[in-house]
Amino acid sequence: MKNSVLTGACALLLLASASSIQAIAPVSIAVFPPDVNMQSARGKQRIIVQASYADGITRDVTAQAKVTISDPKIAKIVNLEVLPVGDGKCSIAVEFEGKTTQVPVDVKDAIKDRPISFKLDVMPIFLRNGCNQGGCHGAARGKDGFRLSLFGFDPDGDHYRLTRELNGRRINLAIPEESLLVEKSIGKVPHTGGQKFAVGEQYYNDLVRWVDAGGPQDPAGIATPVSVDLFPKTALLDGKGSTQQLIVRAKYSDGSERDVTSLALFLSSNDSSGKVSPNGLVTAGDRGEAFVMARFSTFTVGVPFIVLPKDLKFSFPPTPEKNYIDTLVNAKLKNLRIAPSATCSDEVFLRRIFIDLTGMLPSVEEYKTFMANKSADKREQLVKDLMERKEFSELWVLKWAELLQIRSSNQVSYKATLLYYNWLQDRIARNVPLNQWVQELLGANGGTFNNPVTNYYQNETDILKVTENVAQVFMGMRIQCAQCHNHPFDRWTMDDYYGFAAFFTQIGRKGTDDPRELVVFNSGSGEINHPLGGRRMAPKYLGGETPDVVGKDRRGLMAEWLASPKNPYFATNLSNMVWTHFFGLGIINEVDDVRVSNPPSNSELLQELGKKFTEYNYDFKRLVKDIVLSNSYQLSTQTNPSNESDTKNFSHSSIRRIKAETFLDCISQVTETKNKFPGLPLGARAVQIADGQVSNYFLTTFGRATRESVCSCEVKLDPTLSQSLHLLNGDATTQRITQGNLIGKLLKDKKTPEEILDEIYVRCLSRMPSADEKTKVLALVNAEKDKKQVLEDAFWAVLNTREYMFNH
Amino acid sequence: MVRSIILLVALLSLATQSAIAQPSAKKINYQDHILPFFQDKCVACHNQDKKSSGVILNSYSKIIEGGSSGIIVKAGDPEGSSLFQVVAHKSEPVMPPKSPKVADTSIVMLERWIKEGLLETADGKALALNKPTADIALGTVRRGKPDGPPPMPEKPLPLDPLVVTSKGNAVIGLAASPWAPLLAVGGQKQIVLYNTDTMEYLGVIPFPDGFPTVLKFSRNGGFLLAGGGRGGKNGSATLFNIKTGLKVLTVGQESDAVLAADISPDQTQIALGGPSKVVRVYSTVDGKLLHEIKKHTDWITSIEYSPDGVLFASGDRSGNLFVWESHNGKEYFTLKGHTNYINNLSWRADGNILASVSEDASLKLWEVENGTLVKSIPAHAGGAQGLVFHRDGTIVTSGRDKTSKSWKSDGTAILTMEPLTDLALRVAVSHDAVFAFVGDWNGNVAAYKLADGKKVDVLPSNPPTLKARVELSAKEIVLLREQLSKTSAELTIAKTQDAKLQGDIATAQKSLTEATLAVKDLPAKIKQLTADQAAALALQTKSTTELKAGEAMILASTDSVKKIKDQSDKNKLDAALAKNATAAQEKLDKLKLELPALQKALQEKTAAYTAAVAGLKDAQMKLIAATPLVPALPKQIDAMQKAMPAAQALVTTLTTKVQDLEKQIGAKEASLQRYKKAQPLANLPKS
Repeated sequence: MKNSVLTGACALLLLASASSIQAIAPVSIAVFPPDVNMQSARGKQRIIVQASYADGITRDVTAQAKVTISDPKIAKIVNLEVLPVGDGKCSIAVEFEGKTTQVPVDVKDAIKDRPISFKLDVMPIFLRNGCNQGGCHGAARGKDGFRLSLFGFDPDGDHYRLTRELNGRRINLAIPEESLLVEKSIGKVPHTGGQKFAVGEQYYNDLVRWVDAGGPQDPAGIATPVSVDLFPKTALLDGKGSTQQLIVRAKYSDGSERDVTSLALFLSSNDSSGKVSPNGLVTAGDRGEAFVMARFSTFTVGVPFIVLPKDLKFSFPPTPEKNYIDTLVNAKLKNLRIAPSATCSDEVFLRRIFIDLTGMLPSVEEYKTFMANKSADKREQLVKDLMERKEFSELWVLKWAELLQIRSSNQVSYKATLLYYNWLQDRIARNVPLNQWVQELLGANGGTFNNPVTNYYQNETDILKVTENVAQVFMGMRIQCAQCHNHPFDRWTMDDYYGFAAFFTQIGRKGTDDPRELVVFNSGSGEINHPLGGRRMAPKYLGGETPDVVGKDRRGLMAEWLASPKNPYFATNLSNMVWTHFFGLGIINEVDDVRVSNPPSNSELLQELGKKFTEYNYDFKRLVKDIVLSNSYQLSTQTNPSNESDTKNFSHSSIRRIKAETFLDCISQVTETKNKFPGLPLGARAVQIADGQVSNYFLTTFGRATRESVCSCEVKLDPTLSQSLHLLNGDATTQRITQGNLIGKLLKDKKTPEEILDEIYVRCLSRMPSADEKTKVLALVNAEKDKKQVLEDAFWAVLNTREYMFNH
Repeated sequence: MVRSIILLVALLSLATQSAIAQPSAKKINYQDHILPFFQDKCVACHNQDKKSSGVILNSYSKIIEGGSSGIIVKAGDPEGSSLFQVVAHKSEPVMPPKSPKVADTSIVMLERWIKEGLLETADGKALALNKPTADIALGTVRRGKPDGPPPMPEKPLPLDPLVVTSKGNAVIGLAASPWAPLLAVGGQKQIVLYNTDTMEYLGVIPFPDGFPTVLKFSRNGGFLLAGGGRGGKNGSATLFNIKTGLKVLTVGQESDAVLAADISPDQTQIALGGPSKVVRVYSTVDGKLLHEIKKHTDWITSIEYSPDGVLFASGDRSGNLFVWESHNGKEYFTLKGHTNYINNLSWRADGNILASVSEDASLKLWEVENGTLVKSIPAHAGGAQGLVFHRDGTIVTSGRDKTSKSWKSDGTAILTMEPLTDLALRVAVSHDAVFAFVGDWNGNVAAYKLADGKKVDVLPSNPPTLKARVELSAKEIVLLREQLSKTSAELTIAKTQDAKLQGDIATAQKSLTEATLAVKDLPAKIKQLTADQAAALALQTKSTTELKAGEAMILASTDSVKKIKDQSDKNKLDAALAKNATAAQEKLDKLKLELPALQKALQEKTAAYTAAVAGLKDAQMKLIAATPLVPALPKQIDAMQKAMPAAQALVTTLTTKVQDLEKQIGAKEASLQRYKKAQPLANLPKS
């Protein structure tokens, strides 16, 4: 006791000294961008100076830092902007509170003007000022007949529409300042979209300059942006009102670089914590995280911001770190100044792990055995035991059957469906490494009966749909947007989309003697053209290279690449999918919504999981083990003041609705009733249903996936009124209690009401009733003559508790 | 230079703006102060078509009427006037939406206007209806050439353009007078006029409402209707009298530029339309709105009255095409077929066929008896733009394929003209159907000879300043004069050469005659001469013999005289001897005296012989020389005669060129005089 007080005092002392040190001197300073390169008289580069302190806090000290240029004949600094003076190299020295650093400067063509470019100078104006967003001129029909391509995916079309679609109206070559385009933008004539900028601003000047030059189209082969950088790379702001300026720099295909801060569109994922101004100034708000993004051209780049209350006192509680998962989760929590919840009790763990690993509740015996086990590694023992059960693999077969849309239909026979399901079950039960069976699946050829995995290409026959499904299921990418325009919030362009679709253009399908069977084969011919301009697209891996496909099975090549370490999204996406099963929340959420603007809540953790999964040779069982044995998985749902508002950093366990099939199985299990599903024997579990077509009222009400799409949203876990009503009044509870006659059997075994109550609690909730619960229920039991009725009512009541309905 | 003019204009407009902003002692009124402000900021939504919240701000009476939630202005009470409240951001919803608050000066002005009692005009009187300056309605529609000389500007028009720009903008307003050599081109806030016979620049008609987007001549060529305005802000159509160049009437209060307009053949109606999607028909008698046609679902892009004025057609941006009855604005036909923007409409002179061109690339011919499509021609790939159905039956079109084409009235292609460098947007055909004019995307009007499709001239839509024009003209005259002097010099040389050639031919012909004669006569002469020579030789020989005989006699005589004398001397007293001696001496002396004559005779004979020899030789030489000339000379003469026409043609050409240059210089000098006499714009009296 005395010791702990002493340590606490020491910690306080340390903290106090730390904060006073922080006020004095930073640990380091960094200048962004790390180098300045300018290639024309119009070159400019804004610089920012960021100081980092011992406790991780960062400050924008650009205004306070002393910035000097080594050679004024090369460059000068005006209003924090570096401007070219003459050709050559020099450096910028930056000094702030004793810390110094240098940035190299390289100036070329300092006195040569750059001609105005439609694509590089004018198009970004429309993006930055919101002209081409979906609600305005980016709409499919434009606004009042004037359309710009959504977020500028079609610059050539935009050039045509601006200059020649309505001749003599939108631009005025004779008096550029009086072009309708210009006058509307500056509000000189009424504009439904309002005034976008003012006379004299860069946007105005560039528009006028372009029209004055005759509204030229760019020469062929003009440089295109190849990458975009957003600086600084991270920031931890201390207190409401503190600010951090962002800068954006684009690199072009000709090797040049430009400061495009004034042309980038800034967005924040969380305005209340980190609001970003149109010019890229982030202002800290309430405590929390914000992912601040900049969009330029087809690129979206982001920086994670953490905002803390001013001078927050915080110490991280001692928390067990069982493996790398805990280390990485806790590291993030430390940055956020969030203390994780305590580790959950054995009872809670038992119920949670049973539902998560087997889709069942522990039996009374299992409960008793586990609780009686005194060994230190009894949780490890239990996990090992459960993962060997067939229920474990059945649960994952269900999961994959949803994603592979195993479902009979007018096109797909029941037989084929069943064969397909059996194929999947075999692969999972044998624990075939994921990459292997995914490759087998995507590269499949043959009859849908002989080689049932080819059903994947029978379920969906549309080339574009197949493309989208593969990207969504195996890479977590929703690339649908890019079918018609460049993805507004991600890196995917139409080129990427149709390049990837080109892998699926040569799927041949032909019938056999059996009308229910289809043969899928590599037809060796078939191409896809870009809808803008009709270019034939060469197959290109999504986010990867363009392989040589001549004479090869395109799907085979694609499968080989997709389920391999060469695909940066495969391992992380599947790890995230596994993670989501156990936490009810993805590190990227939703799991199939991976995009730049939906960043992982803990990027390091996701990367590490993917790395481990790859190292494990895609043995997902090992990954499951890592996850469920981590302390982070075993945290209590009980929150503390620091983590009560946290919903995405895994600082406490979340309360999760049990999915439809598992829930029905659990109800059947505790009431000892049997279900009958078509094609399955009496008493089969709902998770064993092969065909997505099969359902019943209960499963539908509780959101069983219809498997009509690959979306993770197919499984509905939202509570609804009909669910409550069904449990309260429907045949799911009362009828089953009567039907299973559990109470009757127990009474027949001469169990006392108290024992029966214990049994009900352990069966359903994996815990003994509390003294209070027991007293109250037993009082009722004793007051009533018909013990069975009262106990069945108690059973019914427990089945209708939220504690039963949720995994916690 | 160009910039400075723009600056000047800008400064002028600034000056007027500041006058609006600070109307010192004068009271604020709607017409002069408030309406321009509303047009800048409000009427895109608060106009008679959109009527956001039922509020219409471009009509004084509608403002007084109020909006759907009651009155919006209360004279003398800004605080009670919601119009003022929302503009001053004193109550929600703040106006204009999505834009910064308007300038404080404007808010103060609005407040003063309300405080001062909502004056409509400066003199406080209600705004008189927009009445025309003259009664222009015609009793009957007359087809064919009107009486009297074709209407041309009688007084010189302002030659100094209102707006000077270094480049032009896409020409979408273009029309040629049906009877006079007059072309009207839509420029920047002005209409530029050219003479279609001489391609001469005639001057500008200012169009202060903005940019003229559509130009139409009245059927008798007496008036020019110009529709246009400022995109997103205001639109109207103004009628100008061609003879005076003055405005007759302005109709329309659109909230966006007028894109289509026409005046009826009897000149009683003007129909116009634009982005408001409503066709509005106004009376030219009193400027009143006669009909509003709300059938179109997209921007009205083209309107034209039928030649008899009974009907008019209108087309829109979606390809809808309707024919209306002029007198009541009721639908007559819906002509279905176009799928895209209708750029132009034109009626055949007999009114039975209507032609239309559209962005769907087609030229369509409609029969107006039953409203059926007669012919659809894929006229211009990418989109057909310009269209004229000329009185003589020729159809001329232009389009995005940069070409212009002519067609027979049944739609058979005649020819494709030399392509332009950018989109060919509008066409006009001169009154005599000699020239077609094509306005292009770059702001120029190309003049083509309709007969062969050859480009003959380019007329800019952005004329330079008068000063620049004077300088340019002077420079051109200098150049022309240089050319003239050079050509004159060339002409002199050519004339000299021509004369020489003629001389040479004459000489050669003379020589030929002589040679022919010589060849004919000389042989006989030579014969004669040979005989003469022989005779002369004989004479000479005889003479020589005679001389020698004489000399021999003298010698012999001298001896005998000496002998006699010696005898005599020896026999001094022998008188006979003496007498003999004397006689001999006398005889000798006599002989001696005869000798010179003999000598002279020989000389003469020798000379005669020499002459005879020479004469013969000469004749022989002459014959030798003349003989080849007889066949050679005719060839020479022939060649020279053949060269004659070229030489003469050169002379003629050069003469014409000189005359032409002199004429050009004369014209240029006349123009220059015209330019010099014309006053710069700044000095023009304010109309």
